[in-house]
Amino acid sequence: MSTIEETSPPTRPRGAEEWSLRAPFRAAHVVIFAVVAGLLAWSAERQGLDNAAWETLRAVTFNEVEGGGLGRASSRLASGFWPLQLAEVSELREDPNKLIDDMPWLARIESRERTRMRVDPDTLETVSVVEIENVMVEPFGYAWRIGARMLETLEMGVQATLLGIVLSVPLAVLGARGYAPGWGVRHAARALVAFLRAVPELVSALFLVLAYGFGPTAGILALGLHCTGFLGKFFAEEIEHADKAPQEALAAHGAGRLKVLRFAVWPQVMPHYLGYVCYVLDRNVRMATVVGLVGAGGIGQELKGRYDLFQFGHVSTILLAIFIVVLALDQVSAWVRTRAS
Amino acid sequence: MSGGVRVDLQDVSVIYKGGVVALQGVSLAVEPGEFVALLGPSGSGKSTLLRTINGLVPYTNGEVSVGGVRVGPRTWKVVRAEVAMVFQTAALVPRATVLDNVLAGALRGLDPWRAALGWWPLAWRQEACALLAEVGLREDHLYRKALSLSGGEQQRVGIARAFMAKPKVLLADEPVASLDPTTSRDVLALIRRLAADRKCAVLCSLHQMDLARAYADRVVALRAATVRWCGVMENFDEGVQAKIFDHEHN
Repeated sequence: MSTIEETSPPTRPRGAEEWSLRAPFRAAHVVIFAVVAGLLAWSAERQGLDNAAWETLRAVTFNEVEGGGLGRASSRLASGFWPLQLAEVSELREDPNKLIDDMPWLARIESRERTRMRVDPDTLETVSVVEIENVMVEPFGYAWRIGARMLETLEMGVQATLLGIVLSVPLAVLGARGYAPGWGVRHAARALVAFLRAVPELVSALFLVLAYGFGPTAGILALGLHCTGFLGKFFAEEIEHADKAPQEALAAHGAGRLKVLRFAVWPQVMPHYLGYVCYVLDRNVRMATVVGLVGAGGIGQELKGRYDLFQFGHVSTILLAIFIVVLALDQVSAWVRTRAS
Repeated sequence: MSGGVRVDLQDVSVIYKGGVVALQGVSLAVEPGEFVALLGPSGSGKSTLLRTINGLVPYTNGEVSVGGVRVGPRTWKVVRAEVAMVFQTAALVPRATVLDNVLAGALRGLDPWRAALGWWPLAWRQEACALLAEVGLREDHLYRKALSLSGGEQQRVGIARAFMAKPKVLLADEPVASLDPTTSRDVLALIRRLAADRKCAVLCSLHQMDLARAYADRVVALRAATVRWCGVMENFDEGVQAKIFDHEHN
């Protein structure tokens, strides 16, 4: 345009070696950094992180088992967590010879010596008595049981994700600019979604357990409602950010709002939705173990029970099972994403 | 298909939010079956003019009518049944297949339950195939994603989509602005041929004079939101061209 020539100064532009360069950082940056670092240090001190760091350092470097609480606790935990418990051991009340024909697969019967402390009724002193007892050992009995509970947990995760999708898609459409029927509806939908996201699943599980009783139903509802809050927000934002040109083109050919949504927006947002759904599924399976702690079904209930009995070998089996499932889900979601894009 | 549809603009003005005047007192008519080129520099209001005809841009003053129906919020459905549109960047749904993109031109008439399932009637799909063949695409394009096509191929799909709507008027908004010269000629020739076969009027914005000269029956030239020149191609000479595009004549 000719206007550029009129407004630019008549002097010759400077050579590249004379161009003025900005400093990579200025005094203000240093000040801001110092202030933020100071605030963080103050907050860490308030939270007791300095003590924790010191305890950790002592426990690791001097191996002071007798020292602080952390050293004691961690060494006890570490020894308790190993070996993994895969077997199920149950006491036999009846004569083992009768059972021999219909034993569970791979099970065997062992005789074990067991030392019991007893109060002698005559002397009123505690004495240790050695008894022989018969136990049935199923070598993979516990692993099998964990598998069954893990499957229940996975089912909880899948059902909760499904519930989240079903609830969040309409909420996302109502909350998306351009597709919401009005200002009021859009803000109401957004507020509802934000509310669902704001209530932690553990808290809603506590209440839902009161309403639906112990078991997976309460867990599924708690997880489903929370992930509705998550998916509703991201689904709505994807709808708003979808390329407008195809939407306009379909509208120009007489397609109504819902048809535009179905044929111009849906194909664009679908791969992103799959990504979010994969993440939410992964999260729901992990959180399904957590809501189990308050009695909402799944492997968490088992975990809590074993933890309370100090059976850390069982706990580590459960943790390993969760880890394996999360790892497997990761592979599945990676595969889904490459297929979708 | 008795007769075509006449597009009429009477003293139309469009003022966008913030006071930008995109069109001012524009009057023009497109007769059934004719090919009108809309010329003018960038920002002269070509896109806005096209968009007032199918209601994508509401006009502030004057009157636009298509086949005697006044264009307005209540009549968009009726008007858009007669008017199809081709866009500069084709505006295809990038991740949808070529077939689905063509079929989208006929979305207006699809039952809601079929739309929900994405289940197009077989006859429509066959019609889309015939159109795709007519615009020069092959069977192996059918189920490819629109984003995997070249610019020229995308525009051909866009044209097939527009004609899938069985229009009586075709609006083309810079359909060849992002294509190379050879492809531009092919695409314009295609639009002209398909429109002539169907007795469909075309209002096509362009910025290349030579293309307008080669394909249009009539020229409407816009500059600074108003019509500066209007006439048959033969009278569109150097003097007129300078008047529209040259800064000195402003």
